[in-house]
Amino acid sequence: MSMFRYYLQLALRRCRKSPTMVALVALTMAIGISACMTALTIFNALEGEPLPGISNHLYVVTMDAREVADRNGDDSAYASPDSLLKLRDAKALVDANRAGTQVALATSRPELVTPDGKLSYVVNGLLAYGPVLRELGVSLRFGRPWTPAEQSSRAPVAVIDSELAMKLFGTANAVGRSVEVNRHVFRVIGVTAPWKPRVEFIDAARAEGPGQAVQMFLPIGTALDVGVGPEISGQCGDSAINTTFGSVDVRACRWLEVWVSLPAPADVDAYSKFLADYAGAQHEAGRFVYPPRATLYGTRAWMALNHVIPGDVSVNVILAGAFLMLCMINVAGLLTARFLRRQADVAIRRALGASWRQVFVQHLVESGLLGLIGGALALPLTLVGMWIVRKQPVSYASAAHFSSEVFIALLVLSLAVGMIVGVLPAWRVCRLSPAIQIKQV
Amino acid sequence: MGHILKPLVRHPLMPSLVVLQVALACAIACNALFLLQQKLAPLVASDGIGSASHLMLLHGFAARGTPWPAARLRQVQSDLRSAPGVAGVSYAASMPMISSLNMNADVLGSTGVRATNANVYVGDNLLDVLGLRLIAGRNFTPEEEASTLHGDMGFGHAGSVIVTRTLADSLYPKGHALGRTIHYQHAAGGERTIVGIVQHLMRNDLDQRSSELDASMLFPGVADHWARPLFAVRLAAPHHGSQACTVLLGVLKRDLDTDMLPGLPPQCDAYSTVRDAMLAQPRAAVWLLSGVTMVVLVVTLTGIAGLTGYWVQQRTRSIGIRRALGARRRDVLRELLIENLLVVGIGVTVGLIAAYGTNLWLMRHYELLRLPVMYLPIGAILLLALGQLAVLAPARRASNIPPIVATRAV
Repeated sequence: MSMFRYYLQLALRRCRKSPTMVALVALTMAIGISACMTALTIFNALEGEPLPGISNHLYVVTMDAREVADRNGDDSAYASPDSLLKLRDAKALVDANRAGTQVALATSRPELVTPDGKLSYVVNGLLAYGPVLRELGVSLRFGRPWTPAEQSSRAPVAVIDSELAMKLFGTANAVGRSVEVNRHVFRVIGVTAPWKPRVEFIDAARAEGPGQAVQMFLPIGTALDVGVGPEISGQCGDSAINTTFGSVDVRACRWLEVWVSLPAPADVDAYSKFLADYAGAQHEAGRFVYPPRATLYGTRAWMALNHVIPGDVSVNVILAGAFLMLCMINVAGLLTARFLRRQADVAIRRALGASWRQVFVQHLVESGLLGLIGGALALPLTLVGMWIVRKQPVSYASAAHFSSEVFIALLVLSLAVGMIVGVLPAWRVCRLSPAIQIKQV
Repeated sequence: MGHILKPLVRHPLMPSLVVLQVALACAIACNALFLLQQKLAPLVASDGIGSASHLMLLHGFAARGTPWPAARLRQVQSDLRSAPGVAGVSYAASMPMISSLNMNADVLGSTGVRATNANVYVGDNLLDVLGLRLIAGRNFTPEEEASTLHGDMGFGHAGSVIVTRTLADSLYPKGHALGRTIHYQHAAGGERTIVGIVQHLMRNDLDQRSSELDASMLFPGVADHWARPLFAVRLAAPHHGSQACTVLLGVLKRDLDTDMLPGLPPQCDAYSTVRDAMLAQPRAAVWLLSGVTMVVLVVTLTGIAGLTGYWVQQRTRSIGIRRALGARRRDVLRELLIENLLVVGIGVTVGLIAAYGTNLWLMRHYELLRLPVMYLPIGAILLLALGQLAVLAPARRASNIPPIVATRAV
């Protein structure tokens, strides 16, 4: 330990002697580290489970459920799996109750009117058939979810989040209050804590980037009764042109996704079998005109397949990683030159009895110190980098935020960079033969 | 040549660090420059719009429930037309610089085998209102414009089409596209006859190959039951302030108000505003990528200069001996430049292979386009020049080593 302190003192003294060199080395490392940190922060915010601990058990149902042959014979859009189902199939799959939980979901943007009729809001809603709160792990603050009886009797009930409750009623406990949706009165039966996935995963084919808070959950049957439809009507008939917004032709359109929760791997196989049988039966009955190719996709596989992480983000990580590597090789070269210029000092230390190990550690400490100085410089540079990203007109701009995790990652990264970069030069300098060096002095 | 190669082989550490650095910088620079060029293309290309300061766009709204029939939107169009200060109105299903609605098709000429992906704008009176420059043929006739398109947006049946010069040239490379036909690669729909050619019209999906950026065509007629209609309005005078928008939005609200989807209020913007918004992302990316490329080159420059400086200093004595034995300053300078060319050349060769490999990998995983081979020599020359620049100062210093050094102990 005392040796370590001595090495640190040596390193500090040497740094003070050549401030330009230190500045060049540290700045090069800092630029590489901050570019990498900025790119990684954004990637990390968009990567991973959208609902940690919950979405790892969630699977989406995909099948080719077209009931009309494509007029143009153009199948290019169906080469990749399709998750959109008609209400009829979605209901059949949910009612079959073959998974832990299962729900049919569609995003919606219903318009609400305050009780006094003065203000209206368009909110982010989720239309659901099944126990949506349980399956997505949405915690209730007040009240209860809708019951199967309410769902089948198409009772006008709604679950809203506490922030919307505050906005509409001035209190989070809005259970029993009424809210007007599309000129129809709904009773609030539950208030959830604010809930949003880390990343969008419902309707992944269209969505991308950071998740958005869901402010309202409505049972599908009731919503359709009062004319509240999905955000987009999905696939209707034989061409993409028939799309409508905010409404849906239930008989013609495929617009729902079915998500099932399957905690055990064995369940996945069993459910896949059930799904294949269901889709196969529909195909044989002549409803599905194409071979259905029914498949289950885990949340992350589904998100990867649909490029929920924008390609730019991944490419930037690769670019930044390559750049950091360039900076590291650069610094390794500069340090080798710096260390080898002091061959004479090393030779004297070696002659006075220092082992090559001690010389190695001494130089590693010095490069580690330079790494830390680089890290300190990288901190403001990373903040600048994130500020630049936030100014960009991209969907993931809001993901660029500095946090304590980022800080710790930065610290570890800069120390690691400093050490790794120092290995080659330190190795080179400690392997010099002391006798020859001394002769040259 | 021997005395250049030998030291490199005998002390390979420094040169190999330079090789590594150059290879990496070359791979990054080639890919970054290629991405940069793709983002730059729409910023520098002509969008084809004539006197853009007269053009306003009404967009962003959608029908609540069943979309509007064509007749109703024609009525809105004529109401907008009779508003004060309006010179022309187009009702269309998609517009330049509005990416939320995009239609494109792989089209072929009558003799062609390779399809070109072309953007399609479907609407009424588009040529005049957008101010496109007709360089051959004619505009659509009033009869053609009067047609109403159902579900298939006009892809299903025969008719006329106006194409850009870029598209005409790629469908009929030998010229004489006017009067010839186009058909679609995937759809079995009808053929269309080219009746006119316009100079430019940019497509509204900018992620395309830059060679297809200007491959657009116009179909006459308006879409029936189209959920997200757009209006382009050409004013009699350049727009000032928000007065024109107040009037236009007033007409739109009066005609469609309660049938519009809440939460998507109609937007009225000058064309230039919409264009700026659409190009903001590529513009930002251009700044970012050029910044990255600059920093990569500067880092490489300092790296090579630093390493070579040390490398030269190490050989002070042997350079002094060579000077004492009759080598001129020019010889020393030239040898160091050649040495650098050799080392950087190896780095560049490795780098080009890496650049191409990386691009192939990125293409497979992130839907990137293929790196044109043209970029490789550009990257190589850039890096070689950079290497020579970096070595200049140390080489000059080396050539100034006096022969007397040889006699001293270093």
